Amino acid sequence: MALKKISEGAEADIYELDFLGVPSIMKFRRRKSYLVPEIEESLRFVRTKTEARILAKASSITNAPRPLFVSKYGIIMEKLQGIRASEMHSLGSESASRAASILASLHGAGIVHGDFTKANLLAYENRLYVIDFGLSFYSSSAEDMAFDVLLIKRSISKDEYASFRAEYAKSFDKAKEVLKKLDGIERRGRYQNRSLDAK
Amino acid sequence: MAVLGIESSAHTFGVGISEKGKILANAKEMYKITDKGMIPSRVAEFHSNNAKAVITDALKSSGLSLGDIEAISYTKGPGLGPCLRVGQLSALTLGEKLSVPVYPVNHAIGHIQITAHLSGIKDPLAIYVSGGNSQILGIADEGLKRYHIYGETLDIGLGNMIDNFARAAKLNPAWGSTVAKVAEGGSYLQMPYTVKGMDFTFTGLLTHAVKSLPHNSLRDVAYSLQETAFSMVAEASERALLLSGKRGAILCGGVAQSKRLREMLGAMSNSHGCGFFVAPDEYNADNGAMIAYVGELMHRHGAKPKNSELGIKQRYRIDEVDLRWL
Repeated sequence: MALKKISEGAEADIYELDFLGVPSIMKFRRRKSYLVPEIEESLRFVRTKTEARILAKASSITNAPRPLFVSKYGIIMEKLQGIRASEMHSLGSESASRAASILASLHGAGIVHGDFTKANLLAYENRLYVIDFGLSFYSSSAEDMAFDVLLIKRSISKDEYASFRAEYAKSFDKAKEVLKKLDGIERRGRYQNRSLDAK
Repeated sequence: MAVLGIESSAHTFGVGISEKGKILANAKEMYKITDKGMIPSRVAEFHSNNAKAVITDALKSSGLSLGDIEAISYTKGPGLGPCLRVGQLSALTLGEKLSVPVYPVNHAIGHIQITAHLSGIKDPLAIYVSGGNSQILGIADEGLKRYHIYGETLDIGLGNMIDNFARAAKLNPAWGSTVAKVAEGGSYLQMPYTVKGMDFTFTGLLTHAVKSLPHNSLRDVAYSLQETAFSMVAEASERALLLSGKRGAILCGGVAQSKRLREMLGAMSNSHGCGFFVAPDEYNADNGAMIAYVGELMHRHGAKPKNSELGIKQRYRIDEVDLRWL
């Protein structure tokens, strides 16, 4: 079980390993010693627990990595192949629709992803996977769901968003309510256009 | 030859002088805030009464005379309309009198640019926290010549939230350093913690803290409010630091005077091998020096503002400002 650190995220370190013969990823929430112990514990332990539960559910209903082993601050999950959509030249409207149907499945199960951006979508051949449930939580609030839509909207082009929106509206029965909330959020936001390619 | 900058966006009337990036003067007078907060027209009156004296004071401490001033800059916004107007009119009058160009400066750019300049960190991540603003920003693409906002408050500014709490807790003076003082030695009570990606919200935390006041000691509530709010900013900043790949962070704006926030962000940055810098407090509080410094940057890089741009703008977004000097 040789460990190889492959990246250092904001909250966790990511390692690659072979777990009982399965190519795997280990996500370990490292210490944040600049926080008071109560907040640090909550960010590390509570988030790990929530993430593991949500990952188990999400991977059973849509394209997401299956968790294989969970400890207090770490999760070992299957390693998915593919490249991050943020590293692709563009997502394309087909993949944008795939992203929408993934998000519709999650929202349909009451899961809010919390960081639904291109950086957390993996493309492999004709499939798309969603990863990193580190900020996910269970919620039935249309407003929480609208934030997922807002994040992806900011990270894709206008045309891609049009495909995304159409597919999302088709595949999720509460989509209308969510998209209405989204308009409200965008109106009250201080900065309405924050996408990186905004000119 | 030097640039004289005038700041008057809120309670401070400040005049600074910058010459080749060196701050020669940073004079100011501050309107005394009572428990009623700020009444814009009263503050504007205060600024009008003090403008001449502060300008004279700045010239005196720089050892320069009006004849040495090659350009004037002033805060165009964001800020309180009547207050901004006093600084703008002073600047236009001086510009006319001396026949020198006048430059409009964004207040937030002032805080960030002076801090970045003093820090010596190349291309830092900027964490700007004041009464009305709380943003994490940096240059994402030099070609755009604009700041990119990585994350920000989705409701109220960090300073405003703490001041609101201070008023609800009947602290005097009702601002951050008083809250920090009563928070000393407190124990942690659980509070709502809301980070959405790199954005955060404060109103839920504020409401919860105010509601817990009757049932808990002020010390514990103040401590928990402060720890929770600062942790949210630190966590969002950590994410922005790693995402942007910047090698250093700077902290600026009024709330940058908080020792605890500095300590937290410093430890966070250092844990990733990144540098961290906070300017001396005179630059975190509102000041004219930062306006003079940015005015000088605009002057040296050939900004030619039209007359129609020499107004005031109460809501002046940081990401609509062209950074000519990049």
